[in-house]
Amino acid sequence: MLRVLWLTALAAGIAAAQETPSKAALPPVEGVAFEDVPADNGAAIQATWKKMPNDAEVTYRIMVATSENGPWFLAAETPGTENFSQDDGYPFWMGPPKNRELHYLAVDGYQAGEERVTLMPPEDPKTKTRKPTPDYWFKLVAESPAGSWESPATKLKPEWNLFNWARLNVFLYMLAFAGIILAFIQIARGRQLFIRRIAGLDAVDEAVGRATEMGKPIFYLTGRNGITDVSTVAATLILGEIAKKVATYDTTIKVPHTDPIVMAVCQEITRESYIAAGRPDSFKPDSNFFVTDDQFGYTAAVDGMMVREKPAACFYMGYYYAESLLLAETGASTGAIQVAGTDADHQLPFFVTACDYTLIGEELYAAGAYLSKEPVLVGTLRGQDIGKAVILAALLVLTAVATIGQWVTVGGKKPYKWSEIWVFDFLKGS
Amino acid sequence: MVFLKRQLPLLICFVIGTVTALQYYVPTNFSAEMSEGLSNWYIIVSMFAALLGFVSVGMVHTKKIQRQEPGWAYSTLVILGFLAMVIVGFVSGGKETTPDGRPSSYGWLYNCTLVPLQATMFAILGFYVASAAFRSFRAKSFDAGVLLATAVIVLLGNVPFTNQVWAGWLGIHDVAGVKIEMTDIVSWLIGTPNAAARRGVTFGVALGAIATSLKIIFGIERAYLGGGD
Repeated sequence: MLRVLWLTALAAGIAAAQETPSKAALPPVEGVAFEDVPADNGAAIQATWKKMPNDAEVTYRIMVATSENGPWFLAAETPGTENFSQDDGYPFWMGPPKNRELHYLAVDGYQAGEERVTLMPPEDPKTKTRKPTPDYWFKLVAESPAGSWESPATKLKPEWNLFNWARLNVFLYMLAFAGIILAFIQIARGRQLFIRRIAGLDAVDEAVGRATEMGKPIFYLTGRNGITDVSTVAATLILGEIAKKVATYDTTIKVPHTDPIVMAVCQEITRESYIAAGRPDSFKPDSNFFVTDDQFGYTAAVDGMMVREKPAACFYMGYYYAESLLLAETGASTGAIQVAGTDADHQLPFFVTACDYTLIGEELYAAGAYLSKEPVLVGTLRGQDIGKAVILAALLVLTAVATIGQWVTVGGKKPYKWSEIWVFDFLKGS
Repeated sequence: MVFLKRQLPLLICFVIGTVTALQYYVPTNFSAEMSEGLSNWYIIVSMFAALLGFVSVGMVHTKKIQRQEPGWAYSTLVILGFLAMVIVGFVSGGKETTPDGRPSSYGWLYNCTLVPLQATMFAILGFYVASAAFRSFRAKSFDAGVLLATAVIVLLGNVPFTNQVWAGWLGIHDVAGVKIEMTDIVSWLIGTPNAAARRGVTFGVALGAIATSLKIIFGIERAYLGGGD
């Protein structure tokens, strides 16, 4: 009996010796932390840990489980030479300190066999709802040929956040710019503000007068985009002012459209302009008409109308694509006086070439205020100018600082290196 | 009536405009779903508005045909083309190919008439670019002269033969120790002065767009409502 017990103990001892890891334990990884990702929708967590001396040989793995005792699944892994906090994608005012001394990994799911499981439960396509996000346990495992180490399990649940702090700078710009605009609107109510002359808009009277003398129609185009585009909205506002002049002179205006919603809006605007000009009876509902939403179909139709009707003036306002030159060259060939206004910078050269006057970029947005001369609207123009002045000043200062930083060296480093200027980082944002 | 025609649209505009602007700063799923929902609503409204478009096309061209206005024959073609496309589309079940993989009547109409017509219009652009360039490159002023000189360099820089002349025959490889090819000059012109001008325009456009949006959201600009009081 004793012999059996002895043999059993010996066998157990051999087995235990075989199960003991042959690798030595790695020194503990320092600064291991698991946190909720800030400013997200509750889909991910982030792990940080300090760089170790033997990182070149180590592979780090983030393991995840839905209970403290496992089973554990692989969520992410990285070699010790990659994934540092300086590349975490956050602006400098968020996330861990930006350097190459701290490892950083974000985790939004894990691999369970063949299946990829997200930390945030997926939406049920039928009920359009999600189950509540459960608690997870995370641990960091470091492995190298010399041994391995793993951190204690940390319980964590990804949480959603109400504000995306990565966009703080954009939010502050928005508030500042809105404040400037509203302040100048208030100032404009009290006193008259100066606006520089815009030749293209001064030519509107000339164009309408010419059309009246010649007895020819005016063509007004609102661009290719829908009403959700701000340049289209600007084009409809300019139409209102031009339609008032057209109504006053009792001239014909034709507004071919490529978007039915824009057509409906422009019909109302034109009607309102005729009423404001005191000539509601002269308004023709079919002055605004839909052609087609096809780009070149629309171009062919409008070109055809131009060639047949020989308009006295053509206005091209709004956003344009490849049709810009096809329209403007045809208009030029008919001898019409042409005024274009677009924020499509690729099409500007074509309009500048083929039209008599071109409103470049922001002038399109200024046109409504310029033509109406309403003090409140004029105030917004001054606000825009202040905004531009601020951007210009920032560009000049930062360009000077960055340029000087190419030569100045303090303590062996270039303190004003372009990428290290925090003001620039703040301005450019995330 | 004033409330329905003026105040209610302004209120809707203010609420939707503010919520949509703030949505950019809120990272929740609800925020993203709301934004998607609003986009879907726009698509639905657009589909209904498409009916307005069809009605408009029908009325404009029917009137032209009835009154036999100049060019009324083109209006007949528009109506016939529209009807042909709709009828053939219904007959083909709206599909461009038949079950055995051949083009359906609808597919044939689309690919053999509409697509070539679109391509033709686009191709005309080449001729228009040439005629527009001819007009604008007449060096009548200093500015036009600069434009002409720049355009000539960019045009020539994109031709392989010019590069051969520059590097092979003239042997211009380096200036003050820096290797300069013809393409480097073109790249500099496009990437530096041209890009700077475009970025200036972009800044202005962005500020103008924000200002216009603010005017509309806060009800300062109301002309787009039309309709009177």
